[in-house]
Amino acid sequence: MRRSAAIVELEKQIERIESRPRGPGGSVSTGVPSLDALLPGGGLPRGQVVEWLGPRSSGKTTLLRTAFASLRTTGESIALIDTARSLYAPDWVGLIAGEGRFWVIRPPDPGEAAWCADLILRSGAFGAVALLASTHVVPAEKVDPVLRRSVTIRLQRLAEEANAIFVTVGHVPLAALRLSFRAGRVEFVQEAFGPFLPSIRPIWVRVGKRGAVEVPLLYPVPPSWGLEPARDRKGPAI
Amino acid sequence: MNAAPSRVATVLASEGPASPDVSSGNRLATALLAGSPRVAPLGPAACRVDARGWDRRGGEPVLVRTLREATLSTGFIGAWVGVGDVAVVADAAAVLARHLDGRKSHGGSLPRGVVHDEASIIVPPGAGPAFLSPLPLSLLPIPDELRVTLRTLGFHRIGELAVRDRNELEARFGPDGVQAHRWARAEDDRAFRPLAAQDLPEASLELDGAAVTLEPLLFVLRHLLHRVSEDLLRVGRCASRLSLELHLDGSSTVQRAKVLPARATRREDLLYDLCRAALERAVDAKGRLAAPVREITMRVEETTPPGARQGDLFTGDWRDPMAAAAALSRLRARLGEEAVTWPHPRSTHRPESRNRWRAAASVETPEEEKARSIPSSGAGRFISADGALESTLHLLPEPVEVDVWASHGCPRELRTTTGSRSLIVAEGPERLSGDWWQDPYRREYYRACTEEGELLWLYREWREKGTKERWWLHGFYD
Repeated sequence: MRRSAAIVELEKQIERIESRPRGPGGSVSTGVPSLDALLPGGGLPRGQVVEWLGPRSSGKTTLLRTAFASLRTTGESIALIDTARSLYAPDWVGLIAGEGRFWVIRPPDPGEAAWCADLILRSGAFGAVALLASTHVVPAEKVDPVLRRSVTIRLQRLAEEANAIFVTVGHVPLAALRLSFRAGRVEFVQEAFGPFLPSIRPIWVRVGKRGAVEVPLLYPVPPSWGLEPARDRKGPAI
Repeated sequence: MNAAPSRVATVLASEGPASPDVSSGNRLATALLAGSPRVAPLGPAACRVDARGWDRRGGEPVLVRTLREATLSTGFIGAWVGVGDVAVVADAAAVLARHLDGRKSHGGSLPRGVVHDEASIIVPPGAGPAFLSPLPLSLLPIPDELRVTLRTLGFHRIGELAVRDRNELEARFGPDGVQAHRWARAEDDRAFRPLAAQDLPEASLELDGAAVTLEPLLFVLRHLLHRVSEDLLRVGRCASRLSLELHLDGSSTVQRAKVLPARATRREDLLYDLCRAALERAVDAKGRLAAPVREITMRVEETTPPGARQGDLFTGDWRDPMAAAAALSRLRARLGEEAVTWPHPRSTHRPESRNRWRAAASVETPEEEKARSIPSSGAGRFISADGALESTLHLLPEPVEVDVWASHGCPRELRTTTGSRSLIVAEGPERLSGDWWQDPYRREYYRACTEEGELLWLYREWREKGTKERWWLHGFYD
């Protein structure tokens, strides 16, 4: 008897499911191909704690948003715990539209951040959770851990059970993978009394001992401009 | 099943000086079943009714009379009815009827065919846009902020909005603008969710002795939840809003607490956690209630059909959205409504005003899902054409005053208590000013880079002649 094309297609899909690795594993692209190539597994690993270290302006938050935008296309839910409550809403509105769901948790007390991460990971419903500690002026290695050792182990287990990406922007003990960020050399861009122009400067992201990769960062027009820059009108000059 | 009917009636009722509560809403919904088998409560004293099928029973004037009589016979002292093709027209007609109550006409400005008597307005089929056109914008159920903005821009009548180009409104106001335009043109696809009043379950239990601590209440809470959950299961609904009432011993005082799950649910464990969090707010540090409680009542105030998503066998990492809803509800219960947010920037120049986050009130209603799927300009594009990542800004909660040495107006050195830091590159100024009518500001913004590579966002405040120059640190890039 001749089998229909639909049955053949179903069998192929079942084969694909059966051939997938069982249990936790896999990775998600950071949105930067050169960095993905350097990361073990070709992206941010699921089920592990990944710490991102670096001083202010070294591009940690920028890369986090790019990675989330990449993950969002898979339709998975994402939670970002903004401990310092310093994220600028216009930068993140693009993550709301389209596939996937995205929430920013802004705990009134920074001490609640670990509890938030625990609850979100425990639900098993989120594909990625990031804990954004307050960013520091001094190199992050000199900063106290944002999570205690026992808490990190607990969250590591929960991330593994949920098969979720768990990123801490800040130092945690026992992280499985560390990404170190460093701002590149500052080029002369624009002297004062000139208009703001989009400018680019590099950052370096080092993946453990596997090497570093240069990622260009774009500093766009001022964020104070309206939502529709083309139609915007600036106020009168001082 | 929940598709909007082709004719809708909206009934508004008044109880007089006493403010309406949930029980009056149930009473109204029950009364209106005399006029139609499909009644959708809108609030304590408002309902929508499926108005189809009255052609052979005397027409819509008879329906209006029936609905008014049913409302007034239930103890309400006033009833106003509006009938139209869609909900937005019927709602506006009912509000207008209430506004014109006792007056015979509307200054002759009602379109031809609209039937107006003392307490009702019937808008004939197809006349919705013409009826809405001369009415004030306040009759559209649009967000207050959008309404204020539209008024500022010179929109006062619904018709003035209806004639605008939809794409133009979308570009300026996003999904809210599109929705407002649709309503202004009498297009309304909001679901009609009929609900019989008896579908709202409630359970109550009187304690053997007055409780002074939380434990006895938590013990009976599970029992009440079980009963309510079973009632919800029986009618195939989920609770989207509940209230807990604590009847205090020896007095008629009732303490109320609201419970709002992130997503409509009838899961006992989730509802228990939320109710418990609500009750814990009523006890002091020693776990004692402010006053002894003799009775506890749980009331479901609003229900919706189950909205579970279909799982996908062929998606390896399918995750349960209800579990996400439960986690977010618990976060909200403990940290407050404003802790679980979505970015919702305002279109204004002042940076701290633009930086607005709104409470993510629910996980995903169909309307939100639809609005979210509309790609906004630039949405999701965080990588430029040449592969550079667009940087993000961190805004300090409040601008911090800093000591800056400037040369020819350009910031060159940042002095703090720990020392001074050279600013090796500074871009600017970007001049911003505005809000002269309430809280004026005039600023010159600079993007300045320290020797360590830190990119700061500074501004200088406008100063009067002879006053000291003041600089503020407003944020930094990362």
